[in-house]
Amino acid sequence: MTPESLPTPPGFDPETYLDLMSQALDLPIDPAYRDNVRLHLEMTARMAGLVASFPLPDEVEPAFVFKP
Amino acid sequence: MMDFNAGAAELARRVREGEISAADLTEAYLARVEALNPHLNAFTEITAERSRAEARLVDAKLQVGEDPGPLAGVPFAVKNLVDIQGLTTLAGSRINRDHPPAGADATLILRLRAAGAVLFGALNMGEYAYDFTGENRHYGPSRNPHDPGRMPGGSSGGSGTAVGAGMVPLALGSDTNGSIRVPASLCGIFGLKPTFGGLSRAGSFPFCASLDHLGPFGRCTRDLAVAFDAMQGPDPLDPVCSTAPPSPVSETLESGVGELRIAIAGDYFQQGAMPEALAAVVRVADCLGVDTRLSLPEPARARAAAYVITASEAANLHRERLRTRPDDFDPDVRDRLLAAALMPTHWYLQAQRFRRWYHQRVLALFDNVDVLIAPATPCTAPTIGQKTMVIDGTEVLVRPNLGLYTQPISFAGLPVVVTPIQNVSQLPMGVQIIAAPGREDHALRISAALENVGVAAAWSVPAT
Repeated sequence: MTPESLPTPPGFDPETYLDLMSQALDLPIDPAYRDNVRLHLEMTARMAGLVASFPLPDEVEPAFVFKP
Repeated sequence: MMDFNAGAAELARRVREGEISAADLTEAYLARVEALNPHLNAFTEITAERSRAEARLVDAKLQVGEDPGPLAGVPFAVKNLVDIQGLTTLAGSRINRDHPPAGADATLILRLRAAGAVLFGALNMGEYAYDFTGENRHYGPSRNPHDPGRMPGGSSGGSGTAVGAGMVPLALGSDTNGSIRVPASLCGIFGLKPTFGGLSRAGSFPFCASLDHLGPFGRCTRDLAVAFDAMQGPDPLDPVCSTAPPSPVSETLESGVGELRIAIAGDYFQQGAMPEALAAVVRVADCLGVDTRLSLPEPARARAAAYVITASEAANLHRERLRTRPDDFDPDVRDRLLAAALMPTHWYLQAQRFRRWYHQRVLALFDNVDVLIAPATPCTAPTIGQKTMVIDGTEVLVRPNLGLYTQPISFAGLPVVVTPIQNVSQLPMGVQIIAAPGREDHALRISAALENVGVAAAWSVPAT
């Protein structure tokens, strides 16, 4: 399973999301590299979708304080 | 005639026993650095005057009968995200050139110097450590010492190149998702990614606080052990550094395989690799008489979660630079960071919660096993600039796939030794020797045992 072969999370529209979030976060994306940023956003969405599709019990806390 | 294949511990022995002075050793290695660096681009700064001054201090101690330490006179260099007093810490970037010089050496430099080692300078790296190739848009690529047309791996590319070429026998790198282990594998040398929190990160430029580690590269297992022992210990300047007292690993290094229970990482770790990567694991398994296979829980998701956490924390770190100086980044790095800066919190938090789940299940594996063996990289060194490669008939991207086998391991914070395996390929290929948290000694013992029977060895340094 390569990252490229993962599905994009349902309902995620990278074009619309990119425009809204870059404006909301005051982080302008130059048109010269917008296409490449969108490709990386899609890749990140696929990776996040793979993680988010795994059911976790409510009791599982984030690993912010991480002691191996 | 100097043998630049020698390891750090062996060089220190020669200095301590008076076979060579630290000053002469320094001059020999400085001459090699000056000869090779124009071709290999490992160093971004050579601190020759400082090296000579530090070597004189070692010799002065020896002359008055003081112990200069277990790394007496040993040349070492550091990835240029580690602070060197008086130099600007570049972290592979153009932007950080505008930062003031570091006011002090990083903790790990201070500790290596206290053990007698001699600093030679700063090493090239991928920009802001967001890299597996060792390429760099601003400073040029580090080159593989065994084929300069190929990449050394990254992001600690200069560290891999420098130790692989015998420019220094010891170097420091950082590893967030594989940036020590990938270059160690592609450059034919030994690398140690300690347990998360096992070595202080104080005085290093961060990348992803949840996953950043520092660790050594060396030319043999003993070098890793001696350097690790010299650098261990609590450090209040790093909030995640372990507060436990140091647990020395050098004394047990030659204990052999003994009672250690060993398994091969199966499934995910047997897929998506070139034949030589799997052949290296088979060679180790045959040598150790291991046929047990063990599956890690959800390694593909672990890799994806590591990807999400890394991207999100790095984008947060670099946000203002992305806003104000986007054109001063390497475009490959910038575009990934910009995308990550837009990420919703749910993605990040779910990845952190998954990390908790994954860590608990990975720990449980160590009830039944002490050491796991896995490939280090899916391939030998690709050519510089190569974007894709074909594995199992499928074309995949080089950059992310170099970390295929390293990311799920560091995500659990486990200590790993990468050991170069001989006679499996025309170019270097390593394996990961993975142990339970805090058990660097187990991984190092296995690496030393493989070295003792000739299965593992650093690749010979190139001629000048």
